Amino acid sequence: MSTLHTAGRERVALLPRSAEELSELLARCRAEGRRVLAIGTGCALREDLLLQERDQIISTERMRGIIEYEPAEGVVTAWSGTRLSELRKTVEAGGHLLTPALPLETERTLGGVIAAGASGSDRLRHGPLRNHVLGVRVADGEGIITRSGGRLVKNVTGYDLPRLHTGARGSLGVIVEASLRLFPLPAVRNGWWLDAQSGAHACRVALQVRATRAQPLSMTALRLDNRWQLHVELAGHAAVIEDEERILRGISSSFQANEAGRTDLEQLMLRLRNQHHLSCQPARIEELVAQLEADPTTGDLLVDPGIATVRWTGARPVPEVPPLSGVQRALEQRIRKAIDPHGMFLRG
Amino acid sequence: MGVDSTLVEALRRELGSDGVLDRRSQRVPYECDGLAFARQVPELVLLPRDTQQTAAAMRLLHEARVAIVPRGAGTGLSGGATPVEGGVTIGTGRMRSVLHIDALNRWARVQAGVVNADLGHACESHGLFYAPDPSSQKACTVGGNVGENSGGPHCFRYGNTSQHVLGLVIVTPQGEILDLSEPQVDPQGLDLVGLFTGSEGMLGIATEITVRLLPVPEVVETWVALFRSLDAACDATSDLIAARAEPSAIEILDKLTIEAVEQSVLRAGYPQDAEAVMLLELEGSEASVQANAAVIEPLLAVRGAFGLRRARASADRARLWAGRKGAYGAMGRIAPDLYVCDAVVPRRHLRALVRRTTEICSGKGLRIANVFHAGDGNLHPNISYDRRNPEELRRVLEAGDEMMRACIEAGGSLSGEHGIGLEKLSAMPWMFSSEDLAVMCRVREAWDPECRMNPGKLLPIRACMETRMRAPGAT
Amino acid sequence: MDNHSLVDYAKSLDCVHCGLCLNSCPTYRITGRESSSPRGRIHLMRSVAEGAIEPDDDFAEEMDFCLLCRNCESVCPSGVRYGAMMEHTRGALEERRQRPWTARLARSIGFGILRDRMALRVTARLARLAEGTGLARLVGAPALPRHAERVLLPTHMPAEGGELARVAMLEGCVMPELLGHVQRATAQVLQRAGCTVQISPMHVCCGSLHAHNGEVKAACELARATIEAYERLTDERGNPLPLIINSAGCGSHIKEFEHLFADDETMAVRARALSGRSFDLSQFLAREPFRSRLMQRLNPKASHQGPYAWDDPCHLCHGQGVRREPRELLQAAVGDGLVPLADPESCCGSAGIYSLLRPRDSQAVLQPRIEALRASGARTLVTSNPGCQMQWEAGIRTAQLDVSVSHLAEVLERASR
Ligand SMILES: Cc1cc2nc3c(=O)[nH]c(=O)nc-3n(C[C@H](O)[C@H](O)[C@H](O)COP(=O)(O)OP(=O)(O)OC[C@H]3O[C@@H](n4cnc5c(N)ncnc54)[C@H](O)[C@@H]3O)c2cc1C
Ligand SMILES: Cc1cc2nc3c(=O)[nH]c(=O)nc-3n(C[C@H](O)[C@H](O)[C@H](O)COP(=O)(O)OP(=O)(O)OC[C@H]3O[C@@H](n4cnc5c(N)ncnc54)[C@H](O)[C@@H]3O)c2cc1C
Ligand code: SF4
Ligand code: SF4
Repeated sequence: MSTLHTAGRERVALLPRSAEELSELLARCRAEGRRVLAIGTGCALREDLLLQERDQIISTERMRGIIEYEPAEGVVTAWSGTRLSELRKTVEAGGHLLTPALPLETERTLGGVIAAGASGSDRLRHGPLRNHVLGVRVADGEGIITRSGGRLVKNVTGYDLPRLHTGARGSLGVIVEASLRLFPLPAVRNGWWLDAQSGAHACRVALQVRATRAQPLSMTALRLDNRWQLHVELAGHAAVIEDEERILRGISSSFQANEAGRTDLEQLMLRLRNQHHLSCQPARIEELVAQLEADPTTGDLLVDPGIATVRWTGARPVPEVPPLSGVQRALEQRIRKAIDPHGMFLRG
Repeated sequence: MGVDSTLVEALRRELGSDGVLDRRSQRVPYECDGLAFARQVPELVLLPRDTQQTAAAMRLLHEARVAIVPRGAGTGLSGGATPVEGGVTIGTGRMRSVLHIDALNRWARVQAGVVNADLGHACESHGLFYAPDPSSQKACTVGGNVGENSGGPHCFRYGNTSQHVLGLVIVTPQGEILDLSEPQVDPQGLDLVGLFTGSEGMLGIATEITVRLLPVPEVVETWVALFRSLDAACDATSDLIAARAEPSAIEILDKLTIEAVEQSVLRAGYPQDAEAVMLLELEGSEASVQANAAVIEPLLAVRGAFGLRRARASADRARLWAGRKGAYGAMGRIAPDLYVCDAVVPRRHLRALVRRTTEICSGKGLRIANVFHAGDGNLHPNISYDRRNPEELRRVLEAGDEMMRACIEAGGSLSGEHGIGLEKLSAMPWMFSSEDLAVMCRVREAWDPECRMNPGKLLPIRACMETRMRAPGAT
Repeated sequence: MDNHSLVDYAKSLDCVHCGLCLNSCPTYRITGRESSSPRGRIHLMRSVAEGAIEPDDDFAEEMDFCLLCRNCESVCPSGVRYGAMMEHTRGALEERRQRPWTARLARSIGFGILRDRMALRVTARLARLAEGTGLARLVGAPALPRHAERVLLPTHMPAEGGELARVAMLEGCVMPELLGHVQRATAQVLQRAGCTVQISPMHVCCGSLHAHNGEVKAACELARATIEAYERLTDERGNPLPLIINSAGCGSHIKEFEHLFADDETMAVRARALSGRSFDLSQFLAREPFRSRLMQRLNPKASHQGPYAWDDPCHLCHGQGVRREPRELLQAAVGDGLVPLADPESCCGSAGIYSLLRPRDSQAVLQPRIEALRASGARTLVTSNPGCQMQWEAGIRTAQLDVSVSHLAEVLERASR
């Protein structure tokens, strides 16, 4: 057992070491009529999460380890508590790139990342995480573990339930294991950045890059201490990188190699976690950023222009998202009921 | 209840007389899809023009408790669009409009009946393309692609349809309109669009589809390499995967296929003295194509590839691909009917399983040709037969089962792109436990409690019965 | 009569039901109906043969609805011979069809007229009269050309600038009546390309319209007469002359005469011989030495009003597989004035006498083509089939486009003056 702080209170979490233990715990919770919060390390829970006295937290932290990784195949399967850092180390040794790339990977579990539907900044090239979750095994409220998808890069057998679990924040059951699609490890990888006059300017440059043949791994614009920077990460064959560097310099002569790595970025991403965030259509990002930076209450800003997503600190609220339509809400409820008939799982 | 004249009249009022086909000679051609041996004449065929008409029709069918089978172009190979007894087929043949192309943000919204290749043509002038390219793309619809989560040669690089669908307008089995068409970075709520894609018409009918478009690469180069044996071509594929080479497509055709193609209107100039042809495509910037070529060429050479040809001009490339895309039809010259299996194997076992499938067929005295998406480990053994010969058909189905079993035993899957439909229904329990299937049944019933949408497909009846018994309240 | 004989069952087995032909079919595209698609029609034929359905009026209607444009054949990877199958079924249906006597009379007069030069002339005059009264407009018939154009060609026209070869040219049945200027232009272009052109004084009609519309017996008779007529046109050594055809529909039919003589091997041999020496005008002109001779005379500046668009007649591209030659010739004649036309191999809806028999369907098929023409920006549309030419003209008039329609021969004739 371990303890966890949520909403200012110390809570006890159960730490099963295996799928069997997890099943037993869940069956017990069900028998005792307790709701369950599934977590990984619990580092990224919703801030508005309210736990009741009887609610049980179950962490997959100790269900860790790689189940299958065949370098000749390009797929990794691991227990849900496996840290992203460990996964990355293993597959890089086999010549693969793991996506998503997230800050503080030693703290992040595979299950948590999938449940949070968290795509990294490398989404620009590789697409959102939900495209890469090939299969999952999930424990339901009675402790029964079911499988969907598989360990193959291409597979359409059965409904695509992995997509349902990706981003469901644990509300549909506890992810026990998952398989991820991998990408070739680039031979060369380097970062470039430029000082931008404004957020809008940084976005403009980024969109210019997007319109060329260059395919950066990520592009991030950020405002730190009132200075705007645009970071571009390149990755691939040496000759391709050379070509893409030329393209960058052709767009702006002030692009320079980033020797320092991504430390600034990581700091900022951590600070901005769980802060306001908003996505839009790529063509609107410049305008959106301009509005935000014009607002004197806005603090830090982090922008993924290619993905058209902004995160910020400050008073400016996220515009109200229109509520789900009645049809969608009702359908979601029925699906939740179908997968979690006893309403046992909390959305973490 | 069911289909009676009152219902037909009411449907006519909603869809107009052209939208309701009740005469036998108009219904009979809908009795099967690309899986020609499974047949059932539908009671009625409806051809709505848009979402509103579809919803109106589905409401009436809901009230009358009539089963519904959605249908696109009917090119599916697993019997997904095979009608059900007493049921109505709803076709998207009159929903053929490209509604909107947002070139700046790179997406398009189309009606479900738009043909995959027509969508491609529509975005061409914007310098964009739609990536999923089933070999049937000249005929199959985007709605059908969503239904099956279809793939294609280039899905090796770009992924199946599901990775390219940003939004849907769905008419639910009750006739309600679920509008999820706005393209979003991440889904708001559960990923219903992702769940619907590949659900084989069992959760509702998609009437509008928002798809992601990609910029046309600077350079596209098609390669044709020849091999002295099918084994060598398979090994070369495994080598390419293991070396993390990055072509956008790796396809293999065996000798029988090459012969059929070369005799058809789609002659591609594949030399007929090779035992296997490998088609590769490399795309991206000039620099990346060159860099990839430098990795790939020696790997092919190691396995004895010869007669390497490269083409960049679009007319030449199209010719090389035409043979691949028409291979299935060209096989029709060999026998009246064709059965295409669709199974996936781990790519490191490619050679062993291609061999195994050949052995299984020859052991049963069947002719088999292989033309497949090698890069994804997606096998397509084609067995030629004559459906008028029931004994031969039985052997074909047995061979199909054995091949699927072999693939699953090697860690593979029943389908990489054609779906389960009717064809592989009975094989589902080989891959999933009854608990796994029960979850799928419950999800289906969340959409369609009466199981009126495409009943009898994908999910074996037994699994569904068990679900009912396990459902809360039932015990 | 048993229903099996209505269908060329053996050919129907070539279809593997893949559906790749669906989207190429104009009648499928406008209706979205499987039964109105190539695969659907083959399925119906097979079902009739296998006894699953009756060959009732609905069945016959689907067979009649087909344009016989054969676009489906061009895309079918299984090599299904759809055109031949459909002609078989239409023929068999026609034989047993109980048409009202008025319709039978009208058909026999109509198809009879085509075989008789005098009757053709009289009909054209009457039609012109009717046009004067607005009657023709009402029934949607195409406009007839001015009287002066309706002239028959001399039977012998010498080559210009030294004879390279002697050729026979198909004058045809309706062509001289409706598009006499096209016939003159064709002969002139051939002459300028170094050919002495001979016209058969005895031949009138090849019977393609009969064959497409189920009049099998008449089609056979006309084919026999055609074969005989052109066997008589020979060079000094007694070898029959190559036959040049400027109407895609006739060309495709003549090249397939053999099918009509399945039970008569000697006629089949003679039919094959004629097919072997029959050429579409463009096919012939693209060959050396005629090509070089013609090229020397081409001047891209003289000609009609550019830009130009080329419309592949179905019976040229799908029926005869001729695609490259007319484009190359046109390019040479008009230089860079050639603009692309979307979906150039799709049917315009003329389809022989289809436009007369089913004016509404014909219009529906034409509509998207007119839109494509509008979008292309062309001012002159070039094609090479009389039916297509008239169909386009009528559609362009209705749509009030400022586009003229020319036969390829006319463009080549102007550019080579
Ligand atoms: C800079 C930054 C930005 C971020 N932005 C976002 C964002 O925009 N949106 C977003 O959703 N997340 C965001 N995250 C969250 C983050 O990516 C993941 O939540 C985190 O990586 C998961 O860590 P964890 O393993 O500790 O999971 P936890 O923090 O323990 O859990 C995260 C979520 O997953 C659930 N969960 C954990 N394990 C399981 C399991 N085995 N089975 C089922 N459910 C489980 C929990 O209930 C909870 O809902 C951001 C993180 C950072 C650092
Ligand atoms: C020659 C040939 C080559 C092929 N090559 C490939 C290939 O390379 N890759 C590949 O993946 N497939 C391939 N296929 C299979 C087939 O073309 C695909 O499955 C295609 O996506 C089916 O599209 P369709 O429009 O014909 O749909 P249909 O066959 O009519 O329907 C397919 C399924 O989707 C459902 N459906 C159809 N429309 C809708 C809708 N609007 N809403 C909800 N459900 C719907 C149907 O109920 C059915 O279950 C090939 C088929 C042929 C004949
Ligand atoms: S393309 Fe050919 S084989 Fe395929 S359905 Fe059409 S006619 Fe039949
Ligand atoms: S001939 Fe033309 S109209 Fe007839 S089925 Fe073929 S494509 Fe369709």
